[in-house]
Amino acid sequence: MIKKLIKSVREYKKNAILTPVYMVGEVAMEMLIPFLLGKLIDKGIIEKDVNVIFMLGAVLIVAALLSLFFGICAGKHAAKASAGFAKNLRQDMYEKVQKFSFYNIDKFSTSSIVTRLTTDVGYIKDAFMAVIRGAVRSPLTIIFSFVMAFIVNWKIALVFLALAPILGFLLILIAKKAHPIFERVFYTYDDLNNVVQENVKGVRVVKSFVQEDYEVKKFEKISDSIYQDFSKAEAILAFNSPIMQFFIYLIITVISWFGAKFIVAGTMTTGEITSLITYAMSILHSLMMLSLVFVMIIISMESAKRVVELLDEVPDIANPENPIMEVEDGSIDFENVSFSYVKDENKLCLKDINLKIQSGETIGIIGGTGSSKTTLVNLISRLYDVTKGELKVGGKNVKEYDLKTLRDQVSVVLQRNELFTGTIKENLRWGNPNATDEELVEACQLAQADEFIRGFPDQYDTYIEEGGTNVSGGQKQRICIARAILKNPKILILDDSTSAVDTKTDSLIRKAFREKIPNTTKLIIAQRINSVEDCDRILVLDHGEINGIGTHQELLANNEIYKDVYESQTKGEEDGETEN
Amino acid sequence: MAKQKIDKSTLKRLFFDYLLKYYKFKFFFVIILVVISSLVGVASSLFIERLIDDYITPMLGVANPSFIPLLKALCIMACIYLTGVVSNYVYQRMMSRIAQRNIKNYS
Repeated sequence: MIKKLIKSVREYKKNAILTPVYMVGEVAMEMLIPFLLGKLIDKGIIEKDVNVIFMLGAVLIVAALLSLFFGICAGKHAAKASAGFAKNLRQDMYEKVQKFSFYNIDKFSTSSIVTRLTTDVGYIKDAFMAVIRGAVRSPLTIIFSFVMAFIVNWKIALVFLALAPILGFLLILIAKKAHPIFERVFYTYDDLNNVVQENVKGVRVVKSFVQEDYEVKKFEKISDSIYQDFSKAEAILAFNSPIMQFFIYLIITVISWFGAKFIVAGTMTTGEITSLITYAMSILHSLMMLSLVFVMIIISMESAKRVVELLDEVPDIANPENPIMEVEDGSIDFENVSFSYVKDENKLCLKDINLKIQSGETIGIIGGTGSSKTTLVNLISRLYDVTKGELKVGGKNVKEYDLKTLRDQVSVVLQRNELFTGTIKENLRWGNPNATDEELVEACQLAQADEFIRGFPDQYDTYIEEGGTNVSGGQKQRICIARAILKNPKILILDDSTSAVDTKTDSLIRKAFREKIPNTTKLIIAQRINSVEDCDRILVLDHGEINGIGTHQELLANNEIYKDVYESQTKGEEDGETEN
Repeated sequence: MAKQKIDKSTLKRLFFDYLLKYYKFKFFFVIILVVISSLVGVASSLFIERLIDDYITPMLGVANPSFIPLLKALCIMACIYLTGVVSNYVYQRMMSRIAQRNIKNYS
């Protein structure tokens, strides 16, 4: 797991290595200063030698300045290394997420991906910094002090050694107790982010339904659960420092007792007992530092696990080994296709679909909510893979194509289409970065968007606000259709994407499709019969199964569902325009 | 990027409005505990000096020195140390609770 994470250090490896190197310098100076100070007192002050005082004093100042310099360098490199590491890690995770299929994203949930990219990376960064700063310094001080203690009096130094495993055992015990709580708390963070994300995104709905209080309560509940968990975990971790302190005092007491006995027996001097206690103190002080690093590691372990989980996730839709780089034509064949979102054959959303669509045909798709219309078209561009059966585009199984090739040729205007912050031009070129201005205008004319765009003061340079809030639903849909057409695809799928467009414009769009892009296969999902009645064939879906297929007239004559929908809609025809 | 200044009144609000308003008693209790814990630390340093001067040096050169005074002093010190350890634990716990609750209330 750690190996996997460390890979993201990359260009900051130098900083990560230099930090402990400078730390060694700092420790060396810190060890040297008391030694020099002792010499200054013994040789300079006691023997009243001014020359020695000046010389050693100067050396002391240099040593102090060096220690400061090393300390600053270590701090600087540590900050650079850890921030850089976090940056790379986030980048790697983000790149991975881009490769995810809808299935992978559904599996993690959007909010969990956000938490992993932000909160979790933050904890790992902190732990990484603590490790490169403390992991060398503290052990070095401990080793040095141990050696010195053994040289001074090995019998008493053995006491240190005997206590170390007990201390280690206690620290591990604390870690084991606290770990499961941290494990839980990060998943609660996912929920918290989910609530915030939903609320901010849907703030208009929240406000119009006056649900602010309810939303606040919902947030408070999750926030409270995080508080409870963190408090529990920290109550356990709070044992860390007192346990350390207990051992410091225990050792002082033991050294005092045995030291006194040894001194009285004449096997030890008073100077030696002072230095032993100093060494004991520095060992325990370093252990304390180590325990802090240890706590950081415990907290970050769970984060690390979650980050690696994301990095290790295999995108379930990937390119085949020798992908086909060209889509022959716009024909589509569904051969006994069944599909389940959870890959379970008992929970199928599409059942045994058999359908042959010729290249250039226009197919309308009608069906009630939950009849799996969107699911059906999502399979064509391989947003999901079929669970059973085979799906062919241009005569070849979709799984054999290079993903980019396939998706460039299968252009989808989704039900909930998104525009991004930027000008209309920039949004359109998102479909085809190399499109000329003429091509942009042509596509917009086809999608019946040119007219209203020219009505804006800035025309094609009109700035679209975040989420496209400054254009109407119908306008947004038409820009999205133009964007899809710009890709010049062999198959164009409109997933209920003219729902907010008035019926007249809707029929103009279809007329333009017929005349201007006759060779493109068009699949039009719609709620309104008049959006599909002039299609070559219309597919009636019911609960994931094909209920009927044929022309408008054929279906009116022999399909009950189609007839019902048609009659109910013609009755309310005068309701008319729905542009908003 | 423009340097962001820390607004002093915000800091004041953070500290006085939240910390002192909701945790007045706890906050002062924590301060007392921190002081106790620090005093124990100082006492332990002072004890080392007294250990040598008042307990070990007088025993030197005595034929049959009595370790009883030293044992008594060590027992007293052990009690002081324990007080330090306990106050350390209590304030650590209280601090983390206050900090977490503050984060929760702010969010």
